[in-house]
Amino acid sequence: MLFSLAKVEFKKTFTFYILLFLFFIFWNFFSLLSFFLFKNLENFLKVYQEKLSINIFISSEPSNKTISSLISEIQTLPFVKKVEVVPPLKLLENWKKDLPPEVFSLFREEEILKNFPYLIRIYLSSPEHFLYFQEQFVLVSKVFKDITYENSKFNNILNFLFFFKKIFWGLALTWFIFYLVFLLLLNFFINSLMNKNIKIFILLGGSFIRLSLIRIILFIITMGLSFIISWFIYSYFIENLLLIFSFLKVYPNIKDVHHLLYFLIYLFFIIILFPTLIILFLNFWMNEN
Amino acid sequence: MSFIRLEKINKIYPPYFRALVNINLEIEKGDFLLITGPTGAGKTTLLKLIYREEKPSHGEIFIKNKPYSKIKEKEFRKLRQRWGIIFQDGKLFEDLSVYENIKLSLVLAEKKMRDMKHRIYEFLERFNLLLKINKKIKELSGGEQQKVGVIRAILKDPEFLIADEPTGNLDPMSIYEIINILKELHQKGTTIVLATHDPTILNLKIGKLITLEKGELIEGCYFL
Repeated sequence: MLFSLAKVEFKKTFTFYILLFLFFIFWNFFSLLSFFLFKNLENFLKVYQEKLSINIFISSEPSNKTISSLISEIQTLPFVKKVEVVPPLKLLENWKKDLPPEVFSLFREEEILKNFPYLIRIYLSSPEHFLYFQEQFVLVSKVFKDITYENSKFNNILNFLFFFKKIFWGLALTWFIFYLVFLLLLNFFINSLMNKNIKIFILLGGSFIRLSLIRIILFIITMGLSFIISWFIYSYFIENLLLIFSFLKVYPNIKDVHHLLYFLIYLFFIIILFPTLIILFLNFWMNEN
Repeated sequence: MSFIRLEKINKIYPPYFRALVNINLEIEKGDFLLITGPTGAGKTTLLKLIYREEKPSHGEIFIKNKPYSKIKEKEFRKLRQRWGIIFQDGKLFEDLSVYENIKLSLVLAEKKMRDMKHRIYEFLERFNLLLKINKKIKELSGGEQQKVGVIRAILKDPEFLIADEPTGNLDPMSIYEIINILKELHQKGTTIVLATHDPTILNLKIGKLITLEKGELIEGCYFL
């Protein structure tokens, strides 16, 4: 019997269901795409972060004792994972390609080496500890003279990482609120359009739960179909994107059990749980309260 | 103990239209109460308050001594499932067929369709609607819609029947049929409250008659 009522509701509010169908294709596609981009960027940053170091140059010719005491001082600082010393000779070898050839025509290698600094590379356990490390290092640097501290690259990437993370979660929350508000408004309009039928249903002794059941089924079917289409569009898009950027990873990779599990939870929440709660809440508030 | 009791009921529609003024009324179990009065006297409003489509501005309605204000919607839903209501404006699902409208009401009243099917056909036959069983309500005439509303209410075998102008758009044969059915139901013990100004029903002189005028209750009289 509820099927007849669902049929009537679907016929009368067809435009709204079309709207829901199109909205969910768009919403789900961009949700998946932003998740894909976020995870890939996170991966990229994770790989890059391993190679990131804080570089300290000691310009005057230090004694071995000075270097070893500086290293041991640095190693006592929190979050220091590894310290690496690059002597001037090795540094010159590394930088040879980048130095202008005029330098070698004007100066002999020994002369260049004299002016070449010692490089101390410091690797932190995580870039997030950088700011804290910086504060601590100021105290150490006061004891040792002629220390030049290079941090621009590190700082920029770090700032970007934090900024992006903050922005991403903010955007994700706004995106989710957009979805909730859309569902709420859509239900409100459908209820207004079906007002006469809803009133008759209630006066005949029908409950708001039975009434909601019709809508819940229609919503799940519409959003389910919409999801299938948006999934195909997303897969096609990602497939093509991977042809260009082959280093990117597929998210969610449904062949992976963990990914599949999280993905199914996402689907349950987005297609079943949230629409159900919104429909029940609105029907209770409009008809039972 | 009265079945339904109305105490000092007032209904005011904004800004200041007094649809009902200080109504005191008792309906006993098994009563047949006729409410009459000119158009706009407040008959429909009174019935709407009884089946709680609307709430009174002042006063209280009691069912078996329990005030309506203390009855939750969930509890009242159970009552409505056992009651039959014939609405003045039909209140039928226009896009559903005659059969679907009747069936939906019976399903909500938790009646077993297996037992009800032949009764639906029997009643549709009595009201000359059998051939229109699969027609949508919006394809029927006003009188035919009225008949579907009546059938929908009485097929539930309600313990309490509220009827608002059930014979409004009907032909004499159908009015006669409805009167017979109402008598049958009354004999079975159904409490009936019927608002009408149809002389055919009023001349039957059954039950208790009360008159409303400009929202006020004029002294009633008993026919029994």
